[in-house]
Amino acid sequence: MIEVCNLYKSFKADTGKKGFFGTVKEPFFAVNDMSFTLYKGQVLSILGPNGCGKTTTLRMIAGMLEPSSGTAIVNNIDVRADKHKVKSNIGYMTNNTSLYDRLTVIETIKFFAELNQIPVVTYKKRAEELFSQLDMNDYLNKKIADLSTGMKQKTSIVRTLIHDPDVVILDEPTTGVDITGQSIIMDLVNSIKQQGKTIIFSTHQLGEVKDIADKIVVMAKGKKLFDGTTSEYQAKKPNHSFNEIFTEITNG
Amino acid sequence: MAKWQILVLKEIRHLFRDTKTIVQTVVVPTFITPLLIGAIVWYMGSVAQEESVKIYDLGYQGDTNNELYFELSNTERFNLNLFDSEDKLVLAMENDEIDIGITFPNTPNQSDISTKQTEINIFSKDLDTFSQAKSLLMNNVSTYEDLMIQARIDQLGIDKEFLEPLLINENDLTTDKEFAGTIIGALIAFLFIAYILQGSMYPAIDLGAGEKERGTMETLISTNISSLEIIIGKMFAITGSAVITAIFSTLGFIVPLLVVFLYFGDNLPEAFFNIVAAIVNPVAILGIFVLLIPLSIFMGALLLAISVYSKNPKEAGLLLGNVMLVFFAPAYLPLINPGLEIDMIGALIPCYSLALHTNALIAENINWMLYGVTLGSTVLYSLVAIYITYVMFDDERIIFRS
Repeated sequence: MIEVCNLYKSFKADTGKKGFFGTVKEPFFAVNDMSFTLYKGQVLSILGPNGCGKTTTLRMIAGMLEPSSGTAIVNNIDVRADKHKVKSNIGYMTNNTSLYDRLTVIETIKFFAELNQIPVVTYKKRAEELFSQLDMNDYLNKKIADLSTGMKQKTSIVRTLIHDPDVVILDEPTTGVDITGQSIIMDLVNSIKQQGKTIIFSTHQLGEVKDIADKIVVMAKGKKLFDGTTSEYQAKKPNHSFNEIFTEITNG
Repeated sequence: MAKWQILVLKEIRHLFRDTKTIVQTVVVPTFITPLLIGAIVWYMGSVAQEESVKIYDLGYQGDTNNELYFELSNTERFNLNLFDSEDKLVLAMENDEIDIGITFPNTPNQSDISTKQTEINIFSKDLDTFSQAKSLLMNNVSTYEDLMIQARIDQLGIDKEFLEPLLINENDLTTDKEFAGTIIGALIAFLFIAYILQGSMYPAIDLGAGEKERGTMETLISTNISSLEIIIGKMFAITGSAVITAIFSTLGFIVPLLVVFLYFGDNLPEAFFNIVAAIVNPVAILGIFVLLIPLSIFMGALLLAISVYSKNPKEAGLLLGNVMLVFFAPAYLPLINPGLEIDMIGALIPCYSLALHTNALIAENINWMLYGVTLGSTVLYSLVAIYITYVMFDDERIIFRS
């Protein structure tokens, strides 16, 4: 279970005005009073335009950024009290492939398995399953630099899931992946869901949300504009598409 | 295996799969640097050799009925050209038609010898540092002057010792070990510092600012590995790369030296053997090595801290270039001032202290108390640098700064 309680995050941003020591910076809230609850086995999709605070929210939940105030509780562990324990419960995939170009696929996965202190037997079994599921077996000894964007994305997903985390956070997992790749990734997300894992993913693809998500949070300018189930989202405009409802919510 | 060890292995593997790392740490120090130095030495040697047998065109203007002209015309390495005016001689010099010129307008007569000074003008272009024309000419002039002095002394009827009251005997007691320590020691320390920096810089940029730019730093931070484990892992990878560079650089110099020994050993002077023996002294090697370890860690941690602070590899390269000067300057001082000796303040200055301790270790006059001060202070600097890097890694404003 994930409980996000009144989460705030402020950064200093350039105002464009010139001061004595360079450009004047002023604080702004990248995330402004974000709260939601997600139960075990549920899938939450965070929707919002670029720069609305999705990634910042996900980073705070994953213990990578310290909240300015408020907190997130992941499997009964407060992220402000023990971020390392929270991290060991989470598989976090960043919004670009972000892998080591000069390592092969198998070396990459082995490295992250070792970092997560997984026994070799367990790691090998799990890696085999994931590679087969994502149809990656022909690419295991290729260097990351030589892979297509889709294959890099799949490697990222295997890296995220290799330690079998209870909570999976995917930051725009289908960005830059072709339609077939998107379908494979979403099938995998579905399969993780079937295993009873809690999933949060941010996306621009509203089609993905409709099929998989149990809950939706819509954000704009750091604020939460909608928090509810997919049925509640659809109920706002029963005869309209997800895209149309999204546009209406974000335009206020 | 501890997480930092897993990270070190990954970083080393990742670094050394990059051609740039191989070139920087292995190819350049092992082949390119010795080849360049060898080429420069060969060029300088061949030019000096050429000059040692060269026949120079000497311009002469003035009276030819004197001892000086006689000496010059009998010097095998001068091809004498007579000029009827000084202006023409100067013009010939300016047009590089002659190598050196001399005008001797008035040959002194017998009465002048004991009373007056006689003017001689020498025209040269001193830019060519290898040219021996001027020194050859000055030898001839000096011999002629000695003849004149002797004639004056004879006329006055005094002994030459009357004009030279002091008989100075110079005795240089510098041993080969001291020479090796003072001259070669500072150079060795300087080269090691250069190798460590050369071997650290690219990995520091790649593992800090490079990873931030590629997004892999975020991936790493998302896993359950602490900031301390990350910096220890990265720092050892950087230090490892520096050590590899230092090893290959040393090999790059030792192998050609061995070749010289094997093929030209019989013709080498004894002093050369003594100098090499002073350098290849187990206590000196161990002493230098023990100082180099914390210094490499200090440099590695500091370079990593700066790289992590940087927004991107370009900014990191700029900042690290300036930091290199800070390390080079104190190591350069003993090189340009061989008489420097270490004191308590000097023992606390990184690089400067390494250079002076290297001198003393090779010359076998090391002050072990000050050596301990340097070792202790460098360990302390390393710990401070590691702490600074740790603080930076824990600061999300820096780690996500872009």
